[in-house]
Amino acid sequence: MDADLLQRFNPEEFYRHFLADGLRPDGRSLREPRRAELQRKALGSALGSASLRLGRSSALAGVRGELDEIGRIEVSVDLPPLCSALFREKHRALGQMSFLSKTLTEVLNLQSVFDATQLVCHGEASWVLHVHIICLNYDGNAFDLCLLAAIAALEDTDLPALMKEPGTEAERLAIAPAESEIVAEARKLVLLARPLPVTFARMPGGQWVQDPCAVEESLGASVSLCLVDGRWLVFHQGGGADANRFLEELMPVARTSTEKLAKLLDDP
Amino acid sequence: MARRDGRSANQLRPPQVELRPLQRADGSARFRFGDCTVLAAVYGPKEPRTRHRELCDRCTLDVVVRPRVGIPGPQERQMEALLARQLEYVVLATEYPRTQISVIVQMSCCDGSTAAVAGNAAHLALLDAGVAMKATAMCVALGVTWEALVMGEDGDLGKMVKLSPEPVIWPLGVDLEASSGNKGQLDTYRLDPTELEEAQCDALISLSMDGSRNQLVSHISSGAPLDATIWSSCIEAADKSCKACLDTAFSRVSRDAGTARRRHCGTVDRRGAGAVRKGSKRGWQFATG
Repeated sequence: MDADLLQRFNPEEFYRHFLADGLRPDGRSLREPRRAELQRKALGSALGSASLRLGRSSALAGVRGELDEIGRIEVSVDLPPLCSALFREKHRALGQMSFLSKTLTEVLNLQSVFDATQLVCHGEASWVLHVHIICLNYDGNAFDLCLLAAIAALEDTDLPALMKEPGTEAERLAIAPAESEIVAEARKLVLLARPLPVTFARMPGGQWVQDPCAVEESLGASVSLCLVDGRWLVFHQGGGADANRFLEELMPVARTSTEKLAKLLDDP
Repeated sequence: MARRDGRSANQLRPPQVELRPLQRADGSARFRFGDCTVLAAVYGPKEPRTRHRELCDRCTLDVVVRPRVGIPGPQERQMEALLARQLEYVVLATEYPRTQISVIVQMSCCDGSTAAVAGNAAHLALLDAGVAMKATAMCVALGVTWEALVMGEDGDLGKMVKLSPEPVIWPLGVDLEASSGNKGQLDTYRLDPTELEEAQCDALISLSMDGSRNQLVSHISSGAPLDATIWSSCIEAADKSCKACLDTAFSRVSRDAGTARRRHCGTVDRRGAGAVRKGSKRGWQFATG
């Protein structure tokens, strides 16, 4: 049978042939992640931004600031129909989008990751940072892609200096605060600890592969592990996994991969 | 440690199951953990509404979650995605090619662990509809309190709870042995938290287990990250409680449905001796009778 036809109509069988040799169709081994490319300051108009490519997936993250009483980070993820045929129906995409938005908001607002007191400016006003992430091309593993893009964008963020607007009580953004009376200093955002994600997918034969592409994700369960300061967050949506074993098997592998991710984020 | 409603840390609220509360649906179920009630209905397998949703070798599973009040928002969408993935694992989709199975979940009363109760209601509704499934999965929620881990330990967080006591369902009279030791370490997690307890917990985990094969179907954590040892003890706790919940819920279901069946099907038709009026047109049978 033609290889393309087999891949389309019976992807499980197609993958079984490759997994028997410990490889995947794109040439990677089972535990090998895709090549990642990170570019900071991708958007000129945002406070901070980053563009990340993971293999064929790519996403763009931008940070916008607002003033409010309670300082926090809010993440919104957009998976437009542009990125993949899977999200042609808005209904389907909304589930994934709301899961990612809610999860990333929680993860980035954790006390061990981000100290909200650095967002406080003069008096009662604080910054609220809106991180918008748009996936431009989806080839599996949206969790890793979006979280890494968000971290890179936040680390790139420069909070501008603020001055009191003359004549009113309200605070306004100062673009060039050369002579004006600065009420809040310009500063760079600092993350206390980076939440580093690793995602695995379970293949029909029972093996776990790291950094799955879109086809591999559709074949079985997918688990996203997020390492924050030595502790774990686990998101396992659907599909079977041998209850006692899989965490013990996957966590050590994830720990070693997060070191490579940290290096990627450290590069200027 | 006693909770507000008198349960211990590893006790579930008594599960209550009502099958076929809706007559028009192909299958329906109402599941309760204490006050938290969710109603689920299944329509299908039937012809898909639109042609392009048809898959040539399997059925399309469509999940809709409706909140108690208001219009569905992002939380409902997220629960739909989660339930869809769970049910896709459990339902034998290849038995029903080119069809659609719709699962509609309605929140009736929310009092903590709503995702778990919704998952249970959906599974039972699928059972009621007679959809072929490869496992019976039950869902349960756990709340983990971080402060209890930090206080009162010797600073060695690596030696965390080794789960010893068995989960007990209260007060159904299902007796499982509860071991007496490790009282101080029970504070770390609370099985089946109510809404008030959820607000106090640092991390919430919803787990869905397939008891017969010891497979974890899904689990989602929210809140603070946890140590690896705590994860494994939480999974163990959920495993045992899902198995216990499965046993009690299903034995109750069989008992209640057996009486219902006798009520509907047992009467002899006046037309002739020996002719028995059929019950529902689907003729659903229970194994225990």
